[in-house]
Amino acid sequence: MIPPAVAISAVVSSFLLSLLALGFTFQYVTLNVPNLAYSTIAFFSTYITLTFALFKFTPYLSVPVSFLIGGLISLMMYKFLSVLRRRGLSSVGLMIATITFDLGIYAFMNIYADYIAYTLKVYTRSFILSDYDFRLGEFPGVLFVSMITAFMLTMVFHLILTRTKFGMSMRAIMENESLASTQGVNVDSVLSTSWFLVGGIAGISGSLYPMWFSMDPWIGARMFISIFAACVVGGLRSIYGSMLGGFMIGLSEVLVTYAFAGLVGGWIWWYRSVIPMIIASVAILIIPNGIAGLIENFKRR
Amino acid sequence: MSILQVQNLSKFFGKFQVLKNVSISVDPEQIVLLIGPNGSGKTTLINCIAGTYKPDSGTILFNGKNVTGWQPYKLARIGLARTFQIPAPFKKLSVLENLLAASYDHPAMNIRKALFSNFWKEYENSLINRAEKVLRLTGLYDKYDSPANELSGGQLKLLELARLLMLDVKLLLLDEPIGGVNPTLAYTIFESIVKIKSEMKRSFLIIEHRLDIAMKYADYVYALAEGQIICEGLPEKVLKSEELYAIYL
Amino acid sequence: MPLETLILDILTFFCIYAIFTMSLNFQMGYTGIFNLGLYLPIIAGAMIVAYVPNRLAMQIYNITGLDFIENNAIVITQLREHLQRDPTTSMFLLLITLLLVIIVSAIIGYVVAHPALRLPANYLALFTLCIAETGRVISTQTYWIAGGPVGIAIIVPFWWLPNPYYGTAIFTILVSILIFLIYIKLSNSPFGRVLKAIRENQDTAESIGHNVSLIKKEVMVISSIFLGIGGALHAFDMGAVIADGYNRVDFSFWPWLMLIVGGAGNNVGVLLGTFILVLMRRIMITSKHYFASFLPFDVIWLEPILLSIMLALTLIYRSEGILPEKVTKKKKTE
Repeated sequence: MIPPAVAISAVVSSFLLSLLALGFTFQYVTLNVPNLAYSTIAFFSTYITLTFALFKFTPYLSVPVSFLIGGLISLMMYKFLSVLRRRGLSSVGLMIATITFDLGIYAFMNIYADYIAYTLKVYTRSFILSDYDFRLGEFPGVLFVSMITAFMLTMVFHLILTRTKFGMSMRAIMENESLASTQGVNVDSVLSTSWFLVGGIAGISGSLYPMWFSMDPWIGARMFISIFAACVVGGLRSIYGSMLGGFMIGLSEVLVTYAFAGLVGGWIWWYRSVIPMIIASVAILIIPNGIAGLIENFKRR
Repeated sequence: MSILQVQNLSKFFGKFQVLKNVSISVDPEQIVLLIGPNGSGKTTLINCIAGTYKPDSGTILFNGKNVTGWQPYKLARIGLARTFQIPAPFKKLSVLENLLAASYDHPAMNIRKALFSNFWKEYENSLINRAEKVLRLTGLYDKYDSPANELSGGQLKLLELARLLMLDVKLLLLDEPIGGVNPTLAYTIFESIVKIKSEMKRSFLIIEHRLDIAMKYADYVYALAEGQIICEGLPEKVLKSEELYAIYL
Repeated sequence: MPLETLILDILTFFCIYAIFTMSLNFQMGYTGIFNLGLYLPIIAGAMIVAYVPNRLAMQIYNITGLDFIENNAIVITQLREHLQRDPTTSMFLLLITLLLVIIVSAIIGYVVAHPALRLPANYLALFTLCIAETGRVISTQTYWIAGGPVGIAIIVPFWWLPNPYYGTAIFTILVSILIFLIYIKLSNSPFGRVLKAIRENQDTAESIGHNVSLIKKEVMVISSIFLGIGGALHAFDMGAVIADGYNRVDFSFWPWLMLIVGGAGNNVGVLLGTFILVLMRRIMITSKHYFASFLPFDVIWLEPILLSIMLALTLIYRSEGILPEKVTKKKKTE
């Protein structure tokens, strides 16, 4: 039997990671550039959550704020990248461009952490906010919040994508951008809005992590490994594939580590990033097109 | 013995069968022409022979050796290489360097030897001499120092051919060597091909749409339509065949 | 700080970073391997230096009952006393360490190359970044190697010299020059030509008989070896290893900026770019204390912001496709 704490970790981890994978893949498919700053943007929100907690508000209030900030930063990134794209910058250059934001946000996150530590005299290099969570019976609030949030955001995203005119434009752009624009789609406006939304989703996902997991300024870089693994397993260009991948990686990260912890001890928890890396490497060798690719091949037979 | 024998080659893309039991052969010192409308599978066939694609069934024999599914670099090393329909030069390298890069057995490809020029100076010099000859043969000599991305379309086609001549390629697979090239240059290219065939004892399998020019130089013709060989034979025979007009109309 | 020491300091820092950027140039500028995870072999080199020579020395001098990490200061003092009088053992330790660094870095390069080279350029970059970050996670968490967040002092193989600081610096510079020569020779040889061909058009290179996959693996192995040596030299130079310090910003993104500013595919340009930026960073570090007093945060966080701005500017104003490079021409030998 898996102890409740581990089960909760597995659930929260998998639901939130699948949301993160959704956003990352969406940005990749639309601009053809993997956004290296994505994870850092998402986990910047953890410090917003921390701020609310430190000022004695319920940390969940950070969700809308994180949505806004994640969305705004994403929007800025989109503008920057599309300018560079129009100037004909290669895809290598565009990826380096995403690094500029990664650096800036990372620096700002640390500056903010330092500033709070300095003014409020608290330790901000590592924190966990599970004590600030509400409880439903024996279970922490974040268990339900993460599941409900993931479910609702995915539903909203799916409905927008399939039932609205805006979503149709999004899909057209994802299929063939130049064709979409000749068909009258205002590519810039649609992409600006969708990057904002997706960035907001990333912000929300990130903001919930500290309610259960321990956070620090490098968490963005580490979680990027998991997001990458999710996309590789799911299928690099498939949004729903990545979500499935996110789910699987989120689960394995916790459960496999737990299994090893039984053998070697609890210290292995700090190495848990290795699990997604191993899974990703194996996936690259065996199923280079991910699960989505397997399904495609199966359909073709 | 044929230099190339393709037997019952089939290739699927998903459920769609692009090549249906295709069999062709090329004899030594022959110029074989492969014709057919767009989408008939000509480039796919070349891709299968050249190792870019792996056929789903069938055999490819090169000088009697079964090379089905071999990787492109291995095929090039035993004398089977191709050009690309859309020229694919090394853009930032000069024309000369484009040719010099075609030297997989250069001593300098061994890292230890690459560090000391004594090991490869001699080979490099003879390589440059060979390149010079090829440049003159293809008429690119004056452009030897130009970056490849400054060449005209016709010159790029010549470069595609020149690159193959640097290697000891016994069977050259040419994908539309005169596509989009002005008639004078087109004739020059084919004259060079004939010269290479007789002087250097090479064989050719050529895809071409410009039948007005290409047919004059072919020793044998295969017509491909919807993945199947619908007609084959000497150029005069194929030109007069009913099947040919059917597929082109 | 006396001028001599300052100059030597900048010079060694330049040499070490030049190893990193030339390795990156060899991979990216020449062969077109988009490697963002430069710091993986560097970490390996530094970790080996943190662990191997020190433990070996403890064995040799029979220092028991003490833990190298817990009692770092005491052990180092004892080792220093021994090694000051023992040049042979010092050099032996240095040699063994470097040998091990070469072997381990080569293995890392080889292993990473396999999945990595199956990926399209974008995802290759992500993969290398992620696997390097995984390496960082492992090295920062495994406290018994390099002490975790605190960092440890390590033995300096040149304690037997009257001025060990000079000794280490000169050794670093000499090894670096050797590495530069190797890279330059390889780049200017026909092998380098083929690398560029592969970068320009991999399929064409395959079609003319090159085993592209093998060549790329060779490139990655060689680069990894030199990156590892660079990491080892860096550790020896500092006389200490702080595992946490080997991060993507300092050991991957800064080299990338140096590469871009210098102009990739062009060794001289890369060295120039490295020198300019190393100088700049050194000046920043020395002038830091002017800002430190009135800023409520650690001045060190201004560095990534500066890097970010410089990267952005270079991308905006040097936009003739990233990494411009003169066309390779061959002087005809008649």
